[in-house]
Amino acid sequence: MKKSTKALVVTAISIVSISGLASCGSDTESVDTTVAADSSMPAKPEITVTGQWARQSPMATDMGAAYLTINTDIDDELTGAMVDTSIAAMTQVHETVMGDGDSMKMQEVEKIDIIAGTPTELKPGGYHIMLMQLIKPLELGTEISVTLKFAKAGDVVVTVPVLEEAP
Amino acid sequence: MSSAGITVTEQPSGTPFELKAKPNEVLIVYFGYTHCPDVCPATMVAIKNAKKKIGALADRVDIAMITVDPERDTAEILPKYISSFSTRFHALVPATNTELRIAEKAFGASSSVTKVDGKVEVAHGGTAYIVDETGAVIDQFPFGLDAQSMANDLTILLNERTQTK
Repeated sequence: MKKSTKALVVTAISIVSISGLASCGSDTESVDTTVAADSSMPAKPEITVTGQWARQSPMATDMGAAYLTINTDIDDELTGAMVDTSIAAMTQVHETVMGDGDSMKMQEVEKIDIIAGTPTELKPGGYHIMLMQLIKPLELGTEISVTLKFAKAGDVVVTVPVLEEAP
Repeated sequence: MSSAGITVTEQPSGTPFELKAKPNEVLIVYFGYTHCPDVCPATMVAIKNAKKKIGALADRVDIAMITVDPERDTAEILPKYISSFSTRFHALVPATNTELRIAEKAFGASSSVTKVDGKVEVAHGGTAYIVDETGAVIDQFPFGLDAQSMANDLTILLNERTQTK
């Protein structure tokens, strides 16, 4: 069951680069913000992200994954994601796809279509945000900031708790 | 399906491990790799939580993870990886490609590791296989099976084994 805790609503204007995106510390509480759109600008899509979590990374690996559900009131595209380089050297949007039999493999995706009114789930065995070359393991009880990049909505910053499994 | 008589090199000991359970136990056999951030840890966490749900019966559940990516999953890395999920385990690193293929064939599994533009792409099955003390495959956990369903199966299988002793 998905919980809608930590829902983040961002009226979309591009959030300018935020320095010090939360690493695993507690001194970056102000990262999540509802950003008021400039009234002179046309209406922008409203993105809501729920159920976000990153998997506690096992010892001896430098790969991590984050998951979440995206809702929007206007069709959009998720074109990428990023985390601060103090967390991982590279961030990509990946999809686990089924091959022959029960064979599965991951591949990078250029974009994910986000359909208005239809929740888009990034979940185990499907789409996920892949954190590559982790600087240090993702530890239970910590949080990371993930910036989602949308074609229309711009950048949306989400605070993502590190959990053992989906909330 | 049976994996009786089939061995894969266990690390860090370097000795052959036969793919069968100890008497009165079950062995969970999983083909995966440590650079897998999505499918493998999801399955390993579900197995870990299934064991938590079955109390003392969990002492009779052993885990063998066979890496399909032995070039990167060395004798040092794989045991550390599995120890994140279980205190009792066998870290199996095929010493040769033949060793891996023979083990996969016993379960009807397959995998591939390819290098594309300098990136390593790994394909592997998502199923975990439950093996008894004769090496017979007595159950399978497909990818995505929840911990409670795994726990239910393990309880039945282990209780069956208790009663037949």
